[in-house]
Amino acid sequence: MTFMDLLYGRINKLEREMKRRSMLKSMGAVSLGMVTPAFAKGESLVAPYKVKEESITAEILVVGGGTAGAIAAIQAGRAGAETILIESGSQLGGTTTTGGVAFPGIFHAWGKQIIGGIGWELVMDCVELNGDKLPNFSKIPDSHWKHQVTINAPLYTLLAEEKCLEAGVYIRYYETPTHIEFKKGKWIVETVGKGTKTTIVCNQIIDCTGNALIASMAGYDVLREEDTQPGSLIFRLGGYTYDTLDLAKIPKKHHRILRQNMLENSKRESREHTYVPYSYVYVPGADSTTSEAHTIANNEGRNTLLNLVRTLKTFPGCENLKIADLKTETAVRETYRIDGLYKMNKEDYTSGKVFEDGISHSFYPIDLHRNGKSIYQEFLKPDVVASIPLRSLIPKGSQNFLVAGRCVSSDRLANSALRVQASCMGMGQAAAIAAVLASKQGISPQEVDINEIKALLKKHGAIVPTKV
Amino acid sequence: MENLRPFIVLKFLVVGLVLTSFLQEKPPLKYMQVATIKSSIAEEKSLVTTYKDTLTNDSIYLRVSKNDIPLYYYKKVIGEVCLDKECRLLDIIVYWNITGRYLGFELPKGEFLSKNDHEPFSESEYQRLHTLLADSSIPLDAVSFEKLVEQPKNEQGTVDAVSGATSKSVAEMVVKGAAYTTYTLWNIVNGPTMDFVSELTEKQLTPALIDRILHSPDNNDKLWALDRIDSATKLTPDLARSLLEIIASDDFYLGYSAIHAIDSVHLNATELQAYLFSMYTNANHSIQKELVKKLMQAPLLSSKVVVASVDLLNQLNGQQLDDLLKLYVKHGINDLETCKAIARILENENKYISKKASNFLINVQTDDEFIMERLNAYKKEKL
Repeated sequence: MTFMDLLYGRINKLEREMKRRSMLKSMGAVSLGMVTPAFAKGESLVAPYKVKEESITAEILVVGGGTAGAIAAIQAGRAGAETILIESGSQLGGTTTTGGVAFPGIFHAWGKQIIGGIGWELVMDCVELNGDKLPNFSKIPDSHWKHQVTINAPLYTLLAEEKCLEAGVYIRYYETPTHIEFKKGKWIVETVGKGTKTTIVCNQIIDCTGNALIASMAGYDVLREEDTQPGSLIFRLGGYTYDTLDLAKIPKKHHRILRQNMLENSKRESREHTYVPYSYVYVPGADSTTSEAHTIANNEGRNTLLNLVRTLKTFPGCENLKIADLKTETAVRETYRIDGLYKMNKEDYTSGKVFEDGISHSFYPIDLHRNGKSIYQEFLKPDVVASIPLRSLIPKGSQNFLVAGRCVSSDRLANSALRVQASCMGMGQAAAIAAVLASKQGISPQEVDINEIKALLKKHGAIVPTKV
Repeated sequence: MENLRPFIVLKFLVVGLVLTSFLQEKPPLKYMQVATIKSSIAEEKSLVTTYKDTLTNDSIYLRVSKNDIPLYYYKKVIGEVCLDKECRLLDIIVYWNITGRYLGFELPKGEFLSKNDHEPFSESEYQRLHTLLADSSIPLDAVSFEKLVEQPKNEQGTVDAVSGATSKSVAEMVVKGAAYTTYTLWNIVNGPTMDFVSELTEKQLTPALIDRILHSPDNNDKLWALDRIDSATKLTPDLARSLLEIIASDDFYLGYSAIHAIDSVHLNATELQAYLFSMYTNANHSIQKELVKKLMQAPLLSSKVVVASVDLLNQLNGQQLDDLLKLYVKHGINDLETCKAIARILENENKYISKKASNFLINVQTDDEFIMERLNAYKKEKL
């Protein structure tokens, strides 16, 4: 082999190497690892999965970050209390967001605002940020739902979380209590979450689970109807135009679901801004108290919906029908209620009784969904607005304990009106104020001077019922 | 006999009265709602302006006051109200307020409305019709003329457009037995003419007229006027006063709409800013937030607002404080006096509140001794 052979041989080899490198470079980042295998050296064997155990403290513990709980936590934080909020799901808002009832109400009655405070602040922030319009609250509507405010649910989730964090609330998602005990003036709450086992020591608890779960766990009496209202799995359909359907060829029982889905008043936008494009299937006996019960409710709701979609698609004009949106879980109307220091009854509600310890208003018709077939409704008479006494948020025989939301102490008919979102928001804010004052004074909420609670509520923008 | 004379005279008098009232021509039937602008006949000009409704090709008349204030519109309607031509011809005058809101109707002398069976309307039926016409929210515009009645099918399977039993779905929206009449009139009252007259008024709007409409007893009129205030509208002292009165009222939606009616151009007037902020203390929280948001839009924040708001700082809850601090940031308010007032808030035992003050002062980056001392003490306490 001559020198020239050697030289040419080396040149050829060099060219091949350069070509190879050029190819590798053009193959991009995936190939880069092959050239620089050092990046793969970060891999190491991790320690076996271990549940993190810790003990933390707070002044106020809010259990449940739904409609009432998110507001309660924000209020407690803003009132200066160390607050922990545990939520079994992954986001705040509950019925309004996860459940899909993204048109909370009712904040106004008979031309006046009756529920304000943090709930209303959140709704207004949503309306403004989303560029929406408010309904005309000055006009008494022919249907009560026309005063519910349609909001962007994802935005509500984001804003509620932002407000919680800004108020210094320590949010713990995916967590649920397993044991609760009252010792030496403190609540000791054991919780489990994804990879966590936590003991929370706090002064006051606000049970915003909607199911009176913590009240029951603490040993306080809770009540349940033999037959409860159905839950709803909310969804939205697309791919058809209601106005062009030949309804004569579609069984009557399906008309409502097709119409409700398209319900909008865009034609009269300037006068009645209401846009509620949604539909739902009923889930009889839906219960969200345990994972097991809520799973069943979700299974049933989803199964009903799937069958419905299959059926609807067989009708003329619905061939291209599709599911445009489906909420994460079945929203629940009725499970457990506490046996409180005062049990509100239907007469209290419909007569607009104002209690000495009234801390928030409520306005909605008596609204009982029966057997998934009909709704019993009874409307409040002109100028009548219901109010909620603090005693209805306190379980009998309890210490340092409050509830807020649909598990408020009430008979079934009163509860069917009290359970709606604006009322739950009002209760959440009021419960937080009572808890914060009780915590600061080292007493139970029922021992706090009611005038002090009312004054602080007003200071924080809540509307407190007054006797005329 | 002498004793009976007064009774005989009385008897003749009574008979005379009865006969007179019987023979007297009945006044025309007229049903009117509350008017946007109150006026008496004496104030109305005899002349009216005629417009051609470009949408319906009908003549529309506008009645104005002696001092040229538009009072109401009206239209004469003569025509059929059902498909079978068996109904009585409709002869009626329909009135609208200048905002387009239904005002009322009038039947010419001797005219009356009748039902399917040609039975004249009773007084309660006229009242019911009047109420239905005033409700623009009932969906009679979504119902087709043919669907008004449950139409019997003839032998050929086609639909007979004859008067019949009212369809159940529309029964609640119409006068019983007069579905076509109600439907026709409702769609005239709430149809294109309503928008046409509203637009006619819009073209004549002056600050004085807007102000008059804002004094209407009807909230929808007020909202109509508020919706039409824009940057080109001059906020005269009277108009500004009316807006402030509405903001101060206990009707949230009206107050909210009045605040929204104010344009950023109007906020060049520092006096208006000061007036707006003077309402802050007594307003409910929902309105307070809207007032501050509105002041955010001011080209330059009035010093009067700054002074008045600084005085309030230590009384506010965390959210109110946050709103005002954001207002200061927006307008670059960071003078020493304001910052010192905010520094005093650092001592507030509510950490949500003190943190708001701390965040503001840290961003201002002052080296004032008073402020730095408190800021350092706050940081130390926090640790």
